[in-house]
Amino acid sequence: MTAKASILVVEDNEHNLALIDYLLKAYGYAPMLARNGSDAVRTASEACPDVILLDIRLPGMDGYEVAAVIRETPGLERTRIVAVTASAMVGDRERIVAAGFDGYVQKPIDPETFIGTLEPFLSEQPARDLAAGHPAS
Amino acid sequence: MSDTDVPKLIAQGAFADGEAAMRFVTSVLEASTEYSIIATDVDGVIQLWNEGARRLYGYATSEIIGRPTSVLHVVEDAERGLPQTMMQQAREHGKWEGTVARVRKDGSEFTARVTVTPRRGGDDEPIGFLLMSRDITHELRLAAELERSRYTLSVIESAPDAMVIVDDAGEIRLANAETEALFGYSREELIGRPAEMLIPARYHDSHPGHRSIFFAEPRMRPMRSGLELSGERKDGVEFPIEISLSPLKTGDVWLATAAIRDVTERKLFERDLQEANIKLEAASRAKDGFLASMSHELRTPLNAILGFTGTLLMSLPGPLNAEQTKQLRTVQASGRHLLSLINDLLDLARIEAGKVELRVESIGCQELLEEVAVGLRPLADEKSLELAVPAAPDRLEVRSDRRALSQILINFANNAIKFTDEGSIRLEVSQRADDEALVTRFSVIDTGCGIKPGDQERMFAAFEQIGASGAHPYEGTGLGLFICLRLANFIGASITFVSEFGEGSAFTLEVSETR
Repeated sequence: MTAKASILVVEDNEHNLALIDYLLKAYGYAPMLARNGSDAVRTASEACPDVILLDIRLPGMDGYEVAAVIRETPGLERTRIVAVTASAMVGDRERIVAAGFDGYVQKPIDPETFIGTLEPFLSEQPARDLAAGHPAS
Repeated sequence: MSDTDVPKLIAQGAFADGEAAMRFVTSVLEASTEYSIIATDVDGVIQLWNEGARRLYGYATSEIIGRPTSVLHVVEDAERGLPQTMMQQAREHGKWEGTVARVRKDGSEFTARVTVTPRRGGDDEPIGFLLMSRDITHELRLAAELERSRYTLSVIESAPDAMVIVDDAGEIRLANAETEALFGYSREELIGRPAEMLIPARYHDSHPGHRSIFFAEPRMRPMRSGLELSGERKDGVEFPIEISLSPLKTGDVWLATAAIRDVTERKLFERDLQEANIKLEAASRAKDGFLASMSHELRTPLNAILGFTGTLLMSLPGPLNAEQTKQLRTVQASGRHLLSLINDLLDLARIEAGKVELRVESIGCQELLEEVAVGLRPLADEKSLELAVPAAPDRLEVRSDRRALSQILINFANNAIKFTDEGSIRLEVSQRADDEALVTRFSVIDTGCGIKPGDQERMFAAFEQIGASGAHPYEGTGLGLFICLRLANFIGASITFVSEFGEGSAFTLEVSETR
């Protein structure tokens, strides 16, 4: 269990936060939780998570801003940021990729495939690749 | 009596003899070069033909003496007896006068003013007639020109635009009533003054240059051809004008006729229109924002509904009994259905709002069909249906929007799988070209249940579910074909289908590219 990646979940909707928290725990992770952008930034700076599952529409600071701050924060260079969003309009995916996110999962999530989709970001191997300048696709 | 009274002059001994008197009379007749003077006998046979007649009709005296005056008339007049009528009237009333069509020796016609008077002998009996005629063609033309000028002037005067005629020195020669109304000057104040008085001072230096350019190559410059200027009223108020110029030649002098229109109202209208457009754009952006928010807000609760239903069905919290599983499957199916509805409605809203971007590119037809088939093969395999893309003899390409084509064909194929219980679904493409267009037909052909004739009409309507009977339980959103139709319309394609109830259906998407 010690090899499991540390995950920060940022989500303002309590039910959705509970769902992702439950799923991650069911698969043996111990996620940290944040309900808004500034909490997310604070927790991330303190805990240096391997992966951040980041909602885009957040009260106050939105997901794009959070990602931008984290990308600039020393010590969080290796942190992988995955957007988990209900924004599904044309162009949203392109915008998210352009904003420097490492991945994109659309809500509603499918609990059966969710963990599998995150797998490339959760294992420690790709994180090292990223640090070496070889980001996983 | 005057001294042109020849008999009196003879009586006074003014002439040495009769021959001298005759020479005098002849010289008078011959000096009348602009008037044709012809003497005839009582029957209209020409007896005398002067210089004026020779010039006017072109006959030498020897050619015409002894011939009737009817040869001088146009055929129609001669045939209806006009020469006789003229003589008859002259005899009865002492004179006939009128305008007559005449024919020269060379056959050309002209209009003459003719006076016929009877000549009387010593006993006062008529012995013949005298015909005096003059070519009035030129006068008639002048009169017509005058009439035209008057008409032109009246048109200019009553024109709805201000009309100003300016000479090449820039002096106003003529201005109409509307000019007075528009600029506030009386005509007396305008005529003879430089045209620059009608424009603001800052243009005074550049305007003569424009005028030189116009007169260097005088041609029509219509309204709305970029000649937008400012006018200035007598009271100093400036206003936007539009001007058209046409050249006018009188004699050797070129003039410019300028029609000037006050476009204040149009400018205001254009500004209003622009403002309205800005508002529309803002409204459109707000609509985009609304659609994006709606999409997001509708999906968010579904995340927890489908997510926790999923975790339960995965037995993550613990084992379920059969009934619990059955009921949760229903929740899951209904949740997924709701998600499809949301997706379809957003698609539709985007198409209707014109938010779907048309990206035309060259697409390999066979490849497109294979992509569609790959995505749907798991679904077909589940029902043990064959999903085939027969190889086309040639590599066919179509220029269209890939996403729209693909979405429509996926919908067709999806429906085909849904309504086919055994047999196959074939995805085919064919092309034909004529002089005007290249027509590409994509067809999805199934061996399914077919569509009842009664259902065929409402099949493309929104929220209509065909065949949602016992055999084919409620599935899909009822928006699929409706969206297909809208998308096809958007990319300029058409959808047709043939269906035999119990035998199968074929849906065809036809893309026509004009050559």
